[in-house]
Amino acid sequence: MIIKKIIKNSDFALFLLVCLSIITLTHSLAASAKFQSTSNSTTGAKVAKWSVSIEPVTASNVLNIVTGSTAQDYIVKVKSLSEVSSAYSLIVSNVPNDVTVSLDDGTAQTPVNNTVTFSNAGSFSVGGGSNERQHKLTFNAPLSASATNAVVNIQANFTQKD
Amino acid sequence: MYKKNAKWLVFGILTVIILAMMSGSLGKYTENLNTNVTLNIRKPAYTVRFHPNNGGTDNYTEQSFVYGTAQNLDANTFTNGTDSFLSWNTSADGSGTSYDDEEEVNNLSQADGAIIDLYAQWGEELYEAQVDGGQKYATVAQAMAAATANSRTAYSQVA
Repeated sequence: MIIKKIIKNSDFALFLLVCLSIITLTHSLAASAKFQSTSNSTTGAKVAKWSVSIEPVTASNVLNIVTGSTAQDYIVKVKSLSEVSSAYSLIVSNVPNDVTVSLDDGTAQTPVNNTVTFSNAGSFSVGGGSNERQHKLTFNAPLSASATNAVVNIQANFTQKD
Repeated sequence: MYKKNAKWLVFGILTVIILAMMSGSLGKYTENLNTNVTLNIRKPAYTVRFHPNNGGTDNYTEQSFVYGTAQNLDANTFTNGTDSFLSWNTSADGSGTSYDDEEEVNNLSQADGAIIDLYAQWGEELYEAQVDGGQKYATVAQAMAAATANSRTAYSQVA
């Protein structure tokens, strides 16, 4: 009876909400502060460095493709010097819809709205394994494909894992 | 009074939910990085090589083609004594596929860089249009064209 009366009390309900909000906000800010990006911190606090990159390995950034002929490869290097684990997907956009793309000799994928997405293309773990990966993107145009020039965008979407 | 409290309650609950959702994403790095590559996509290109096939030097000529694009064969420029040019053929002895002079052709090869050899075929003229006083033509098509140009439809086979 007393508890019911307390709960009905609007001031107590408001107080409860404020407490919950403060707790949640504190937790959020604490998590955020933990990973503020400063690579040369000397404070001793656990501060993580976030450094990722993607760059071409293939010397030329122009691929000459003959329809119905041999597919052409383009190799990119994905690198992480971060102090946190990360995973990434590769998104290849502005691909002509009659050109297929495969990742690391996998199944050739046909673009959807000129885009091919390779989810979970790779990941990096802190303190384990190499900090860079090479990926081979293979472009193939069937004989029926149209002759065209297209600037294809290769995007790596990195996400922190922990 | 209760209505006012209810509004605060809803506002408060929503705030807590939003903050709770943010707590899962705050502090998580995400980054999108890009690199570009240009695709130059073209159709296979091949070459038609015209051989005189007249017993002399094989001073062939060439004509470039692109798969998927129709194009007329170049007009013959070779001679062979008193014989007339009859047609082109993929075999020197005339046993292959035959093409008329300046015939429109397409997709003779799918292979990039391929060379298609055509050999001139020689002999007596076989057809004449019955319109221009004995002018003879190597092919029915040519005789018909001459006849049609003179509003006629007839031609005769000479041999």
